[in-house]
Amino acid sequence: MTRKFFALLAFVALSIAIGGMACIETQEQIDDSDETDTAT
Amino acid sequence: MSSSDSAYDDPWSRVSPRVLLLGVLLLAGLVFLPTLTFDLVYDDHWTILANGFLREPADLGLLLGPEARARHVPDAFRPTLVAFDMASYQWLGVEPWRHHAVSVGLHVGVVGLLAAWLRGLGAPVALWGATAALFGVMAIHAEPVTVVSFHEDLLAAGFGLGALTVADAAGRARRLSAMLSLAVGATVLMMLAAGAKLSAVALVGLWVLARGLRPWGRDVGPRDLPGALGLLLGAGALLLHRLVIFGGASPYGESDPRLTLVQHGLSATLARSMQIHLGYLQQIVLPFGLSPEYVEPPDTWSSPATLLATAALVGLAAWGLWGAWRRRRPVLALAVLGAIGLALPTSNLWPMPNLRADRLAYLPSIAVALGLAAMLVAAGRALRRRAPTSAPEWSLAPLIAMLILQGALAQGAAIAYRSDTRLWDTALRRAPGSARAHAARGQFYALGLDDNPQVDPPRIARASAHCMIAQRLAPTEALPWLCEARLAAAQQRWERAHRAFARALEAGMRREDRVLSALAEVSLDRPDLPYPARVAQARAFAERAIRHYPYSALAYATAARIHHRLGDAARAAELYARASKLRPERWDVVLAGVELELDLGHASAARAVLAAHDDLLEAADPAQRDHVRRRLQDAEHLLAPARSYPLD
Repeated sequence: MTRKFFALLAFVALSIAIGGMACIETQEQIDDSDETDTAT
Repeated sequence: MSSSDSAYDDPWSRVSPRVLLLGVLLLAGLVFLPTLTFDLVYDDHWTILANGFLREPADLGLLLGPEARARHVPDAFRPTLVAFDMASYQWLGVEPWRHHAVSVGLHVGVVGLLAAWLRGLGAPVALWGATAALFGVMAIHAEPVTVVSFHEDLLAAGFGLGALTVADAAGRARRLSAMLSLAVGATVLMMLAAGAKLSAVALVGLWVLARGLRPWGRDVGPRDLPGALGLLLGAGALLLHRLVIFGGASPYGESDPRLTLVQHGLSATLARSMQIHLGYLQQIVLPFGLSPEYVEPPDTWSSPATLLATAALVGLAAWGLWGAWRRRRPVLALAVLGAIGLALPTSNLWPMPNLRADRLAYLPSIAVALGLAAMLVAAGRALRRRAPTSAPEWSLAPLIAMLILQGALAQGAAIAYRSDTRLWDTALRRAPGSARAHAARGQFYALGLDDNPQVDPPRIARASAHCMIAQRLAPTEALPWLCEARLAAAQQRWERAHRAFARALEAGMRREDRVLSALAEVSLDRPDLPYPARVAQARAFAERAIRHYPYSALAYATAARIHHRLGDAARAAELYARASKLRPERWDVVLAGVELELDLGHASAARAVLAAHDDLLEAADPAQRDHVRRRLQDAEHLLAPARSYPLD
């Protein structure tokens, strides 16, 4: 069961990392568009 | 197995508690691991990098009396935090990743202590495991875990939960001596918690609720009295200390007109506070809309948003009270009433500079995590009941989905704090009406101008636009004027810079040393004043800055430069030495000291200073470092003793 638990933990950590990267990339795209589209 | 354990029968119970705890702690650490690559941002500059007090361990005792506040020590009203920062600085220096590692370690420690407290109360494995895991990855914790200067929230929660755990252990101790020792331990831990952030005293209320509601059957009895008294004593001692030193619970001044509560009154502030707290609840449970900055104008009690928020919060409180009264769903009653109690200290009943900030939800989220975990575990059980033939692991699906959602959004929210420019860009996007964010962004543009600002008109235009917007948004606040002043100084428009710095000072600039030092510097270059008047003004501002801010390296470095320029070499050398002691990482002060020796014709002394700081100067601006080295070579060549002719 311990092995299963750590496999589950690895799955959660990996999913978080993928989801986190998606959030970060979205923010960077917004940054770039801000840089070109706004007056300031 | 107790009845509550069987109620939560699921795969959790098949894993050893130690393995489960290890997994939960690993997960909490992994989620915030990327923050180790981040810069020091926000107030880190003020409380860690430029805080000369951290370099003076001999003065640590001042924190216990009024002197630390009188000398403008940053966060002087949080002695535990300042002592912790001092120890961190002395051991770790100023490398950002080391301080971020401490933050992550503190957060992981809080997760472990939360698990330990719940286990001590008799919570079933599924519940303490789920609560700790959820608390560990919550997205609303991105700010307090990522910004080093917000260690106060982590320390308050860590020491506070430690105090509750030890107080419970005191009640279970078999021998009187062990019971009394543990009660004393609870007192000390609670004092440390409240010394980090006074809000931690609300944790005593959480302990009373948890023991009174008995959600997992552990009755409270006479043996719990020493532990309870220990907690009360610890919280009371720190409250008394705060009252004696600061004359009130809030250190921000009951009559400071810059504070919303003072400016707009309690009623309007609380009306907004209701909306803020409903917002916190939403952001803890479903973490969308997190931001490093919020604009929260006061509101009326008749506005629809206030009415809706008040109805929701009062409804929740009534539900919690009903549950507590009828002993129904005690875990949820503990979560609801605990969250309300833990939010009270920062609910704007007392003056605070920010009405809202993500970090203020760190303590209340302890109770919310418990309630949310209980609901997710219950949802998993319901799922399993609907499909009894499915694998037992399916009962974890709701919890795992929430962990992934919270963890991913935590990493997304944390990235806003990667650097100062990223932070204020995000703040502007989330709160475009924030004068502070515009002023900060304008200043960063101004600071990015090089020695010849006229070659970068777009950057000047951006800085100027942000400063002007900030002034329109908050004409009576100091930061917009500081923004204009810094831009004017970067453009070498000294008269305008002086005027704007003076306006910032009049508007009640916090941390005046920055403005006083800037005024001293620009006064010396004002073309509109006769030379004797400039000199007198510069000296007066510089002396005022070092008198009022004896731990400000900036104030000492500026005063040293002014005395250097005015030819007062002895005083300049003394001030450079003090500035270097207060902030040994400032290579510019070392280079200025070398130049002072060269100006005096002491080439050998200049060489010695340079040699003594070889490592530090590796980080110096190459152009400035080479300029000083060339000067030194010239001086050694020109000022060398004259050779005697062989025939003389």
